Amino acid sequence: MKALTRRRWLLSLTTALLALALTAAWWLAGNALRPADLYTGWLLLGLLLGLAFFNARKKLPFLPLLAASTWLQIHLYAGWLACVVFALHAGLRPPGGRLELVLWLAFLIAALSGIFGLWLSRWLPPRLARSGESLVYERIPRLRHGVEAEVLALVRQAEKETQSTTLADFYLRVLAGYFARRPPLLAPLAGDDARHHRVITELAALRRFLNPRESVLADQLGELLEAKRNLDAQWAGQRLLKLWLFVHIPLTYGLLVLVGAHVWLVLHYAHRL
Amino acid sequence: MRRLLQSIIHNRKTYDRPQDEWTCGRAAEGCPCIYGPGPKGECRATGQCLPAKKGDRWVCTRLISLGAACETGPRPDGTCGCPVPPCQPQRSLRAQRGRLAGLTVCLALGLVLLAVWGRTREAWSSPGPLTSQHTASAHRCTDCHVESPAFSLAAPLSSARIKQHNQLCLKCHDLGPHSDSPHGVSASELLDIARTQAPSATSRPFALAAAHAAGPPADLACATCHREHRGADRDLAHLTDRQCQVCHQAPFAGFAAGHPEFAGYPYSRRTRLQFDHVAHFQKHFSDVRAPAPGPTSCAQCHEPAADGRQMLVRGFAQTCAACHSGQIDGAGRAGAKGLVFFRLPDIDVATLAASGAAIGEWPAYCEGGLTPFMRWLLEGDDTARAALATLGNLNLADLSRATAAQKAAAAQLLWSIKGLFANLVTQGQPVIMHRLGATSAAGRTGQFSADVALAAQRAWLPNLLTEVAAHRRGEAIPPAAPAGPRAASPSAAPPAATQPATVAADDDLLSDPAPTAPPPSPVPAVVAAPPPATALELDPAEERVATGGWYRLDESYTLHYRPSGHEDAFLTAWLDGTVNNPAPTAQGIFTQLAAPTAPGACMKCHTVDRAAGATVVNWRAARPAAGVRPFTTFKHTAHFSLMGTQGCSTCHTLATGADYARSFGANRDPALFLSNFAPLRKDVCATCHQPAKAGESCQLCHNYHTGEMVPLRLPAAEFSKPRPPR
Repeated sequence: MKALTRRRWLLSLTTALLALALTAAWWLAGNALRPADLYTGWLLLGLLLGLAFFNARKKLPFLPLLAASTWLQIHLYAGWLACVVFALHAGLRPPGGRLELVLWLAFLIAALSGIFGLWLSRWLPPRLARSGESLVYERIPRLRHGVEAEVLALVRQAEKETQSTTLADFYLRVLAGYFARRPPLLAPLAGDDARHHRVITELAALRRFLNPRESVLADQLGELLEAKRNLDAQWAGQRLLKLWLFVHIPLTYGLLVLVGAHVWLVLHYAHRL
Repeated sequence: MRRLLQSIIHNRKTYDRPQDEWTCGRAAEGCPCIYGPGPKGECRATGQCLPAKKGDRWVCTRLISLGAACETGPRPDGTCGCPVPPCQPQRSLRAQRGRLAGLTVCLALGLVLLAVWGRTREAWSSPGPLTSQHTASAHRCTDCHVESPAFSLAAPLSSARIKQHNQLCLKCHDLGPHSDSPHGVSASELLDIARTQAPSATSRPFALAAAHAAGPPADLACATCHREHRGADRDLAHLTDRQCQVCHQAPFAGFAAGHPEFAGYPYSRRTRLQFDHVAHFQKHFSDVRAPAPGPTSCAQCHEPAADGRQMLVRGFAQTCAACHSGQIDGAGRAGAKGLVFFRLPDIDVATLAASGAAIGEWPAYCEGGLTPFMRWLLEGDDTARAALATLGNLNLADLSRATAAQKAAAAQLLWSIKGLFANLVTQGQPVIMHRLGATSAAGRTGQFSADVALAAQRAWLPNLLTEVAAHRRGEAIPPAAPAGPRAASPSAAPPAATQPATVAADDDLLSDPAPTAPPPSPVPAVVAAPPPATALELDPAEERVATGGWYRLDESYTLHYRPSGHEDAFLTAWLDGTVNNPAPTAQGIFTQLAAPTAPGACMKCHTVDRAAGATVVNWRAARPAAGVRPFTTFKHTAHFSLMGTQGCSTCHTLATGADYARSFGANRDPALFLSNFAPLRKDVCATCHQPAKAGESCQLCHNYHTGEMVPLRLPAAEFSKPRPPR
């Protein structure tokens, strides 16, 4: 068994056992007429602050705290534990109070977005790595622009050398629109790029009308189309890997504010939960 | 082989700044300027390079990654020859995410402000809807919550805070003096229970053992069990069996497995009405001489209460009247049908006269002493009370050995009796009410008939009113003539025929006795004239008041009261009024009325309980006391359909060997008893009450809050108070 797999199993098992123990303790406390909700509330608050500190830790690299990768592992498994404690604390049914409902939904969406992000970060990178060259997200527009320029230059070269407009017509009819298009948000989840395949198929069908020189240039064009496909896949995939954080992180900050209000209200009014 | 898009040559690479807040607007076109936007998002583009001056010449410094030195070169003024048109910088993804986070925080803060300080703060800060019963009574958070004075982490669990909140609950829910104690019972009672309840020896599930080991918290808040803000339909009283048993020293797994056997349930005291089921079922109901046939089912005498729980005894008319009404109204009695209320007692008037006491007229052949009622009424008079005290137990019929003081007291008592009689004649019921006090006299007059008293006075002491008036004025009373013959009974001599003409002509004596009073006459006017041969005969006096009332017997100089039937107001009022009075006179009345052979025979069925220092007559069979919650409840109506062919005896079996009658008689402790029925057995209930059948939750049969439940103390104004604007 690989070390990574062993570590995952170990941490998952530890988290599961901890969750089980917490559930049992919560159940026993309820049976013993103890304020189990108060206990789980404080525990959940601690977990939330710990989870939120992961983002702060990334912004404080100078502090001699654990490595960011270690914090990530803590964040992942503490997140699972927080979901269990949340279920014990708030239940699985939406609460009746307005602020409580907003708080409940905020946690739920933050947790689900985190789970989605975790799955995405496990599932997508291997596929991106298989699809072609790994690229820096911020450079992709420039690279795409370069590929597009190369394609245009190639078409002009074909027209100039062969006095034929077959490839030029193909560019105008198909490629110009293809290069202008950006992949949709969830394209990485949809699988293969059908539009790319259609363009490649049309290029293959065009070859019977090409002379030998044009065929050579068409081969180069095919390589550029493949580069464009890889760029699109890398861009869409990396964009998705960043966009889920648009839900997770802002909602976490909002959640912390709501949790603060919730704690204040509880301490202000409650006498026994 | 695929061509790499990114150059790995160090000087061909560009420097990206993803952490910056702004990115160049031309980055998407693949040609960002090398300077990038400023920190505030302003475009700083001028040219592709910043030309450098070498000597007196400007040289191009364009990066190799951008194509190295350009052909045009810098302009003479030192500006770049390849100017870059300005762009509109765009926020980086990171910056956009930060702005979104800020927006979310602002939104959350807005919600918090709304919940804490907004006009609709109570709607926003409420953790959930209240139960329907609290929705009507609680309008503000502070109706049920004590606000924390400061931000305190330990506030929710502090003992004082818990008690403060409990007090808010108790403002409406009065749970009695031991509201803080489990089950509302006192600590001493709990200790007694704990001593008698042996620790459970049976094995328990781990969960129960663990919960029990943890024990209950030291301070139990009402909210520990009553979880509010969980919806209008929330069952506020719901508890699990394990939660119930946290406090118990002998927990058990379930009803069938571990619940203690019933200890005499449901018979915790003797019945309030003495009714021997065994004797009636085995002897009386089958007796052919009985005036009415016995019941064929329990439902003929018992019916469920409105809530379906307790089985009640139907009314007297539906149950006992058919056989026993005659014993009450006297129709079936062999002896006197009424009780003696007033009597002219046998007093040794000869000795008194010999001692010089002026006694006026007095019958010579009286029998018996003062009745308890007379003694009670006379004790309301200071003079009579002093005379009675002086006389003590002296026999009034023989005063030959009495001292002078006792003779004087006897004479005084005689005049007090005469005065009482005169007052009864002339004033009627108000005399009794005045002597007893207006509040306690209700019902005790028995609709006293002044006319009967008047007729008696005319028959027995015709000059009574004159004599008493003279005596009260302090005038000398002429010596009385020797007593005449005993007056005949009204049955043989109608009062109207025996009255002196002067008295018979004056029927308005009560309204104006003094002017119309007959002149003093030393001679008794009572002459029992034989009735005319043709006159109708009178029935016996007590027969003429067959449905109850007052009558007199002239042969014994007595006024009687005959009970009107069941629930006779006179008897019940006197029994209730004297049962708790320790005075000998009161006890004498109670003893007379409570005797099994007394008219009315009240105590034949109705029992007397002495508990908590008070004695009460049980006029009613057991009924669900309003506002009293027992520890164990049982709904009879829910079980009717489960009865087998044996009917009620499926559960209630007669205890034929029990000496039921021993529970009564002189015993006034209701807890000392032998029941007519055998106690219920747990296994009968456990037949159905199992987890997979009818359930075995503690709360199916047990209440937590027990004892007297005072009605909710909700201010009436609360219901009409408008809810604060939200």
